[in-house]
Amino acid sequence: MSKLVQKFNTVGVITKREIKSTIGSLGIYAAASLAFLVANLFVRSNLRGVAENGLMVMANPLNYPLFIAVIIGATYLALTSTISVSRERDQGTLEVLFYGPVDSITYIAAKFLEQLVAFLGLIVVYIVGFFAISKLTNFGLDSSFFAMAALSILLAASTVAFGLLLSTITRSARTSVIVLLLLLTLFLASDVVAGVLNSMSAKDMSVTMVYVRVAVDMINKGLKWISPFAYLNRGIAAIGLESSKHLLSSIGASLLYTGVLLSLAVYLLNKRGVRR
Amino acid sequence: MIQTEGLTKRFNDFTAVNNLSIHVDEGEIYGFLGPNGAGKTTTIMMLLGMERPTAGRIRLFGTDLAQDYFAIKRRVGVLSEFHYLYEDMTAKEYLQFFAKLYEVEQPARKIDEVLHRVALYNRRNELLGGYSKGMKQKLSMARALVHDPDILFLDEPQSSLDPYGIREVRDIIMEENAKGKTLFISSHILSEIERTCHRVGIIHSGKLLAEDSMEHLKEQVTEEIEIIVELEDVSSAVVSGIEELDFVKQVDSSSSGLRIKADVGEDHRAQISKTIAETGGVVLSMQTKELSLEEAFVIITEQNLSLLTKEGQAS
Repeated sequence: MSKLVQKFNTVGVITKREIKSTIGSLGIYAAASLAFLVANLFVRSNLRGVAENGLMVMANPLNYPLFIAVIIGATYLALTSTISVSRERDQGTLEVLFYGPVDSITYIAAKFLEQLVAFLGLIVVYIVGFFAISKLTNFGLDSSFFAMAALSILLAASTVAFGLLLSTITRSARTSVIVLLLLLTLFLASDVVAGVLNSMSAKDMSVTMVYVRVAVDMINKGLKWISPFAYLNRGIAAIGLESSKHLLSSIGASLLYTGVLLSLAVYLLNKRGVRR
Repeated sequence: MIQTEGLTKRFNDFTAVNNLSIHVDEGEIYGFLGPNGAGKTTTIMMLLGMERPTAGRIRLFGTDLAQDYFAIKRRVGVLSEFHYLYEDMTAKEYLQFFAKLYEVEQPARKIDEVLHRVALYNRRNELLGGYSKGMKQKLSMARALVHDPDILFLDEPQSSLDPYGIREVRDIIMEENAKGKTLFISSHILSEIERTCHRVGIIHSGKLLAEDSMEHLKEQVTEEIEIIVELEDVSSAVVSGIEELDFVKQVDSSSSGLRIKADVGEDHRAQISKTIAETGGVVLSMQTKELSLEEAFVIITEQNLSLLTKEGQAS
């Protein structure tokens, strides 16, 4: 049997076990429910707007609710992938797994695939759900909705790779979650602060504040290459612009980001080892 | 079957394993002994490819582990010191998972077989979260056996077991060896090592102090043997007759008999028996007290301890 076939078997067996475990846990159902709940708040708001004005201003009223649902799903994935390796190392089961025909590449590949399959499941549920909402509300679903749904798979891939990398760096599941929350807070804070500063007129600012604005803007731009969520924003912007060039470059950037992070996760897992 | 050459592992300034060269033949049961922190587990982890050696080579089945990692791993079974299990699974599901991972042929039959061997068949559908420590250890043994490996690495295989469990594991070790399997056992239960192993290696502070068969190891460290003689009646003539023998170093007498310390090398019992008879004594029983592996282990490690300490201070 070739090495490749053996590796595929390992990836397949671990992926199946993980999927079974995910299906058996409440987390994914809670994430899907929360996503629909929040998305429906936006749909209701749009419906109220139509009722009050007799007019639908937005071209694609279900795209933003989908975006919110995707972000919630991706955040759930970021959390589960962030604890996936560290928790298993914490429990000692990672060590036992590696007694068998499992190496860092097959293990990380299996974890990645499992999370991606979980997200695909979420996306299918989202599409069915939004299709039902569309029928109930007469809000249309056009190609941009499906393009965004397809593009969100790349976001999921980036988010999972990001989570897996964090998980290989940290020793315990608790530390992994703390590091993830700190990073997400940093990404959000940087974005908000940069947004506020950029909205201010330079005329009203002191020289020091202008320098601060430039510095914050640069940091924010840098963080956007690290934050997985920024990659979806780029893709959505490209869909909005209807620019194939931008769309392709954002897809390429997402794939590159995912590849680099997964390679780093494999490298770090090798380096840090699998023992508690 | 298992071969290391100059195997070394350093963690920053600490050398856990130092230039270790061992050789385990096919079909052999090899006992790997050493006090806590001697480097046993680090060595096993390197043999399994889970710790990268700082220097040296490892060959399993005559091949470098790195060269054919997946094929070699499929031929190796491991029972570790700690028994980490997926507690959301039943024993049967757990073994099914590993059987798939190892691509075991006829997995259902094999799983039933190993569950019977470790006496967990009747508990196969219970969640592992409810298993006792001993049951977890037995299931880990079943996992190590499920793919019928050619080499078994057993790290403290009997540590959490009751006397029945210890016997079951001992039987499994002997059965596997009878099938021609190679076993590499690390244990603190030296009486079990003595019962089961063909050869032992003793490691201390990362260095291999001794490696030989049980008999040879004991011979190496035995300076004198003790012969216990039970007599019908102890007379001064018998005592002085024994004391005059060339090989006798010391004689302690009591109301029931003699305790004789003598040179190692030959079997002195015939000569002692003859002398007692000639001096008017009657022998009721006679036995040679052999050095246990535990005593040999203590002597070897203590003999080398001062040497290793000096080496450590020098470096």
